[in-house]
Amino acid sequence: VDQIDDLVLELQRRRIGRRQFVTRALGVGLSVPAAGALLAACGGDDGEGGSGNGAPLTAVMWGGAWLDGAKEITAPWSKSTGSRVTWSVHEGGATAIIPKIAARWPTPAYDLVAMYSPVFQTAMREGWLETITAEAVPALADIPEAFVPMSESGEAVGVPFSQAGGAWGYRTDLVESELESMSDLLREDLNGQISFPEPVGFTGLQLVSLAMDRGGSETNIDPGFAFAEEIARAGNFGRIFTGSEEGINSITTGETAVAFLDLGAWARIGKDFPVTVLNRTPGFHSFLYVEGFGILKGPRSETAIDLASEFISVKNNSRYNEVLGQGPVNPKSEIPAGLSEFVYTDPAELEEFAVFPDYEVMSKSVEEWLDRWEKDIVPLIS
Amino acid sequence: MRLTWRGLLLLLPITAVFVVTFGVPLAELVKLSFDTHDIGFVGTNEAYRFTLENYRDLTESVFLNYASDTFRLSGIACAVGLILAYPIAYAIARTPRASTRRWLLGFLVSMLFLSALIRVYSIQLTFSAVGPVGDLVQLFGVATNDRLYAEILVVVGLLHWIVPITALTLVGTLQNINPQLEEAAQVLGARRWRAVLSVSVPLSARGAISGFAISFALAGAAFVVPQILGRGKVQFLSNLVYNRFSQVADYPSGAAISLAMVVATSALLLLVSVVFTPKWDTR
Repeated sequence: VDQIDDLVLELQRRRIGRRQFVTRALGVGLSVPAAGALLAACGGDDGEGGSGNGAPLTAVMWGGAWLDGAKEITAPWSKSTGSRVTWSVHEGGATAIIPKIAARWPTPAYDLVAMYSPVFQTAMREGWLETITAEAVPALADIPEAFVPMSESGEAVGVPFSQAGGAWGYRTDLVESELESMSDLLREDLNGQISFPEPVGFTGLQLVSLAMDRGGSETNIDPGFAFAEEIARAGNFGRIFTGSEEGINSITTGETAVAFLDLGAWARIGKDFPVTVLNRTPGFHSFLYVEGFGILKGPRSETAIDLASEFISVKNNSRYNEVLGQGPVNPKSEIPAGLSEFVYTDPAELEEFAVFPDYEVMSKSVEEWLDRWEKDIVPLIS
Repeated sequence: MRLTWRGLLLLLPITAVFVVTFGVPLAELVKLSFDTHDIGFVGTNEAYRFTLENYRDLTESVFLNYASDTFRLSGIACAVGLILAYPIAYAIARTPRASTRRWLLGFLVSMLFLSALIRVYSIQLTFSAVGPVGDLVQLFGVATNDRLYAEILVVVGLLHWIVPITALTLVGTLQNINPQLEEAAQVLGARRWRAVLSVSVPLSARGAISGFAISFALAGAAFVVPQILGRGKVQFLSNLVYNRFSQVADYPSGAAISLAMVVATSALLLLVSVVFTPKWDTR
């Protein structure tokens, strides 16, 4: 009876198709008419269209730990469903995937794409994302609403897998003294020592951090550009990077000492180098966002949703984020050991140090910020 | 040579391939460059089609600075590359043993197969503040994090492609020059180096110009080298094109810059050809 229950569950979760269901039902001792009757009672698709019967998926993920961890989680899922997953890697930031999807829409080359908050906003605005229901992803019901990408009508349009963030930090062995305020970014001893993402990376959070120090915000970015201009004139920008790995390389090779990076990157760098992450230092703002899968509308979206749901099961969500050095989104998942420094668990800390900017505004403004960066700041970087 | 109807027919397949693979995308790019784009949205605005705004932006001094960096550093890299590649090509062309020549040519070709990222990151690690060359130059007071150093690294990165390509272009030219001409100059009293400079170099000038032109076209369109080695301080036009197409989905502006690059590179190469080729043809 348990085996039959499991089979029914797998069919309902679309992990197997009708043919597989019947074959396996016969294997556990059901007669053909009984298997047929059970199948009719369960409903389900015809097993040819792709969902749950080995439909190949193409997914996009960030490289390095993100991809390694994703492959680890996908392997048993592929084995049980027969769905092969081909992974593509984001070139630079996740924002770069937008034009690639646009170029092929309505027949995109991808089924599910790893995104973070601002990219979710853009994809949602374009109407590309499939609605995610609690029936299709039962674990979604456990996840705090703040972590779930929502449409204007309040429907979930993504499956989050990590709570992540961006923050300033530095290699303690490469700076003369600790950084105590944002104004320290102008210090003479930091000449050529700052790694800074270009505005498209992090959708401009780094510029917002500069702006907030001077009384600005994501809706008033001018003070941020004025601050960036001062840093450029002081000669303190050592590298402007497009992808996180480039920033990580810059810090780990000692090319630069200070950077604005994602908290997961800092956690990984912290394993091998002495670093101080300024996510609990008054005056330095750290920003929180969510990473997850956006499921693109298409013929294989049900299978894609099923794969995405694997990432937020209690066990997998903890395991995956341990690899990434980020916080799980499923409250039932354990926070991986050694990550407490990089993840906020205390609501009071969250209130005091973490910023949730308006990603909708930022995703619309970043293009203007990039233009301004190219015109006003890059020529000043010496 | 007269072009016959049969000759034209033979050219037809390659012309068709060229039109489909190059002409059609280029036409699409031209059309795109006159489209409007709304900030914050993907691609082009369907409501308003024609605008010259994307080209007007290119006349701003900031954009001209990016263009200047692209062509200045490409030009320097190609000139240095030509100087480095000439003796290599000369040695290959004048090597008496065919097996040695084949080995040397194979080595040059194999250099082109090496992954771009491996080359670029190896240069970055070697020349960075904590790399062996970085350590060395810092002893002489060179700041490894300033813009000039980034420019030098970009030139070094470009040389990895330019030297083998220019040398391979020159080998054929030098092999077609009769070595007895140099011997004649030496019989008349010229030293070996003088014979090479006054006989082989002028006779191979057209090949050198071709090598320079091919390298310049490649260097001007380089993307990975300035992206990684330029550290965000040195950016080529191709980096701006990438930003527009892949980062903010402003296709019309990206298309306008791409076409400006095509026109500027073609004009520069035409200029080089017009200025130098007749000069060498009269010799």
